[in-house]
Amino acid sequence: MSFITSFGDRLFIGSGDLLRTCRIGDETEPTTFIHWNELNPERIQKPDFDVEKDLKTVEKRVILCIAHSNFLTSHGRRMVAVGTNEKQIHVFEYFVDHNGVLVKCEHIVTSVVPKAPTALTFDREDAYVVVGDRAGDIHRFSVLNGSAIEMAGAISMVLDVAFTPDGKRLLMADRDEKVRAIRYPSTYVIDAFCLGHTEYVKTLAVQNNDSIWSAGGDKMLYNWSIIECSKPLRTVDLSEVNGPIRKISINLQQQKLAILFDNVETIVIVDIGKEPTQSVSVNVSNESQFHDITSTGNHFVVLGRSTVTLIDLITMSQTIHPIDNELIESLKQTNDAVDNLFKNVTHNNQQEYEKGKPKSLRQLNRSAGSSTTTHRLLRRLLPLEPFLLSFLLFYCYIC
Amino acid sequence: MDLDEKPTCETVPGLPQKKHYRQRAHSNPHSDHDIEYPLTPEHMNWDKYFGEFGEERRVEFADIGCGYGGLLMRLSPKFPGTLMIGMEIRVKVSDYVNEKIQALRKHHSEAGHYRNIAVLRSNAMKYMPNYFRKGQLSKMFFLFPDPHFKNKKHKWRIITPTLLSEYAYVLREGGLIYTITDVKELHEWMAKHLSEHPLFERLTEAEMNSDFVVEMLYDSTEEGQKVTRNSGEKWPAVFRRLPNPPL
Repeated sequence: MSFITSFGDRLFIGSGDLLRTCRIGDETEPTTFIHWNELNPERIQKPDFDVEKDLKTVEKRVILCIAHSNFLTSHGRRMVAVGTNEKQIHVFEYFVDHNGVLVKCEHIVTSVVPKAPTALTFDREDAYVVVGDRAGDIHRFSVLNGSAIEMAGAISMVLDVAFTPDGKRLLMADRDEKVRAIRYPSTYVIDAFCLGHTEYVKTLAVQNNDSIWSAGGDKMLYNWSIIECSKPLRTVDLSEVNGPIRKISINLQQQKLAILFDNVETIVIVDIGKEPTQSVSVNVSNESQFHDITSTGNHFVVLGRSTVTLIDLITMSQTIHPIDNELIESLKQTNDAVDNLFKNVTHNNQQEYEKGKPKSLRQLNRSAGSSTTTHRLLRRLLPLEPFLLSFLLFYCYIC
Repeated sequence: MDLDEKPTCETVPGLPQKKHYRQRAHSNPHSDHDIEYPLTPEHMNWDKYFGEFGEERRVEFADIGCGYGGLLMRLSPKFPGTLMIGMEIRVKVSDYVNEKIQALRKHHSEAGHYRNIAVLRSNAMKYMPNYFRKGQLSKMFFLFPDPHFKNKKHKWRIITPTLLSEYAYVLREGGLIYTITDVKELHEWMAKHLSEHPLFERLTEAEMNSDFVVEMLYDSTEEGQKVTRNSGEKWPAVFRRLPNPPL
């Protein structure tokens, strides 16, 4: 899998072990954001929890998730967090000049999580990075020192994490069809379970503090209120599309929500400003499969198998951003970290048991039946006992 | 009202015999089981479990990992108007409990005993919020849970900090979690995590003594009776659900 995220007019692309950046409107190919040999070993944290094996050594580093900081205040920091298959989360800070040109990028901290990360996000103040993992746990670590603590979890793979704009609620989506809204940082309070999906929930998008969207394996797009979550506010049925939903992205300026599917060449863009919602299908030129999508300004930016395409939401026109061959090769080659998220029930215990039960019960009844006949026979013979006994003695005597 | 605490197939016809329903005590709660669970609590068909008696009533007690259901049978006459559900992941064991409840209901059909208890096969670690609404339960029971001794398997335990947040979600303010075990280390683990969880507080000795349910934790279940036979020690602990802090 390859990833794209954005901040302002700047795009960040992670694919395999490549981490690239470029600007919307620049006609130049993306440049390397940071070289892995620039990691400062002193800023790589040692895990303070039990890691099954020591730091995982991998043949090739693969990026598994990527996120940009919120940069809400003037003294905020421009940061990018990247989770990799070494179970490490690297945080980089970059600086731009007054023209927005990248002048410097540095490695701030690397934290270690116990399982392969699946999704990550900065909290509202950009003080912590919150990471969901394959074991179903949520950890957070301080951007300052990298020390990680467990905060919450599910007995199911976490597939996406997100914050509400006020930063007070953390949302998580899992492989067990659940979306939950938990308090932050008091993550021990679960405020809502949004239930309705019938397959894994892969992707979340946040509209405002109370309104969130979710989608995944069941090809349904749901809009939930956190406060009143007993049923979805709105439902968009996409079951006619020929693949599970892999990613949704929301553009608040234009009130649009874009949907990417697995192995489907069409993108669906939903107008969420209208009631009921209206959807249009969009095909991207020269592209049949998609990795990821991000939203910035009036654009959606789609990362395909070999292209980066900007969709202008005002004109609906498309612009292809040039990319280099090395990145194209990587985009073609990277596969999803988990190839099947659907349930894998290997034993149908209940069915087997119910099938076997009539038989075993019949046997039981038969043995129970025979034992009662024996009992009945014995009981009938009981009054004759003295007679039988004397007969037996007599018989023995004769012999 | 006193009901026979040890019914047998002689006294209650059709009562299932435990020996036909034995199943090993461990199950992997993390794997994908073939469990049918409702999409949401609104979708749950409690009729199937409680019939007419369940109309206008909501399940309030949940015995998690109820095993052979001993506690449910003991609690049933003490709270005759309260619906209680046992949750058990093992197919055969849950079927045993169901057969037993059916036989008891039939035997006591005139008096209407045991209509308030039922069992369902499920994985409480994964699907609690599918069955119960926020704040629906007033009591949850964790009696002699699987200790999962190995460090690596601690995440399989039924009491963990993250699962406690889910139990807190389905438990109402003031609701109680009852725990008991014969494994001292597990008792310490459960007491530690429950005491440290901001939404639970431990009941004092005096509070525990004044709750007649506590006394039932020791010997109502088959596990509990086994420990008594082996003259093992038992450690109970009870915790109260505290209100959520303000947002």
